[in-house]
Amino acid sequence: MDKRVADGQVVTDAMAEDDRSAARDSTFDAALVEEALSGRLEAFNELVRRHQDHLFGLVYRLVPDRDGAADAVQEAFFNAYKHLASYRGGSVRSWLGRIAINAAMDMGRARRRRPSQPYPEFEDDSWQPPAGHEEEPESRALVAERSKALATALDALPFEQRACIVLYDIEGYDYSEIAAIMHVEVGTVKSRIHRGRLALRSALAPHRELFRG
Amino acid sequence: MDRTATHSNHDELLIVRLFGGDVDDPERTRALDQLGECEDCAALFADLRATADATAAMPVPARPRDFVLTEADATRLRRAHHGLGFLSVLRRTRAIGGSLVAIGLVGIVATSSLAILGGTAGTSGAYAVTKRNASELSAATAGPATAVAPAAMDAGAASSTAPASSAMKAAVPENPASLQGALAVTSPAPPVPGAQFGAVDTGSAGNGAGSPDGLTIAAATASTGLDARLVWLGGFGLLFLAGLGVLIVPLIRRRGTR
Repeated sequence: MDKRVADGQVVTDAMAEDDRSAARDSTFDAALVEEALSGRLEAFNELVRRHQDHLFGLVYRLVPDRDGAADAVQEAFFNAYKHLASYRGGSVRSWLGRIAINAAMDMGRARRRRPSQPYPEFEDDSWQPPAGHEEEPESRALVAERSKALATALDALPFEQRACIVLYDIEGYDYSEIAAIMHVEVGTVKSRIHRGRLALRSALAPHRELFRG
Repeated sequence: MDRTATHSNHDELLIVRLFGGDVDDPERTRALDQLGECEDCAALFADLRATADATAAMPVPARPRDFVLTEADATRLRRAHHGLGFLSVLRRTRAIGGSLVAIGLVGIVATSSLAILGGTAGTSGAYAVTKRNASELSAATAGPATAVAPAAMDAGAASSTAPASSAMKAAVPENPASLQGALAVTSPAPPVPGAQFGAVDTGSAGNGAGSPDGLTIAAATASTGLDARLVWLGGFGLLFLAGLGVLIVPLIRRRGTR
């Protein structure tokens, strides 16, 4: 593998290619936004197709109910279309992510008022996570068990703690980005993540063997 | 000291913060020392890593539908967006709407309460006016008119005024000028002794027995008070309805845009 050093960091060709690809995607997204702003709905729908899987995955972890998550994502795209003019450049993916998180937060607040069974698909024994081509049946069963335990533990967390953990661990936002998204202080974000992790660990104590080894 | 006791003295949050990269240099050193010497702290760190990895790897079910917008969605959203300026103004006036509703409601309650209390208060006031005027009348006529007014104010005893009024009527001709002055307040009709009372007291006009001027004033005062209260009530009602409108219209529009 070819390596070189840039800004003191080792950069492989694959990483560089990823960066170039991300830059191309970002430029293409921005162009689609421009076209959508000029009134071409198909351009906006192309954006939807490019990002709907990512947004659904993100929102699903915040609103652990498939229908609720789908509604939140649809609402997010509606809001994005209504406020296309508020896009100020930068990553369209992040911009859409922020809108989706806000929609998920609204949905989470509504859900808090009407609690329901979290992750109902995990309750169905026939449900299995999407199979990777290399995965053995035992491995898939373990992942399903682990996901069920983790989903239940995550859902038991206060929405704010869950959202911060998901944004940090899964979406890879840093503390200040999460603070901006959630309109709170950076210290609050850190505290929510740290306390959320401790609470998760306590909740998962009976299933610890699922997560070790 | 056993292992658990040692660990109970350790700061678990410090280990969590180390895992989250939220420690300064002295804290990092302390946390690493804890990890090196305490198996429970090391287990905590391992659990944090495993949980974070599992969270990131948590499978997501396939999305249940496509989220592309239809032409109808787009038209509706564009229309909603154009109405957004109007909506935002209305949202800003939500506080005003709330205030209008509150003022209207308080006004309606207060006016209604006054109307109930005012029935008594108004009667008392009218009674006082009547008594005073009757006293003046009595002084003017030197007759036994003071007994008239209280009797006249008894709503259920209109007919009981007749004898007293008759007594007054008998006294009136002795000083018509003084009486005319007293009655000019309420009666635009020329003070024709004996006839003017019948003109204002319709209930007893038939038998020629009239009420004293005090009763006329009381009736006029009560009527004016009632009208004023109705006007206030109407005004407050309008305020209440206007406030309600300001509050409800945005909700209806928002539901319409969904």
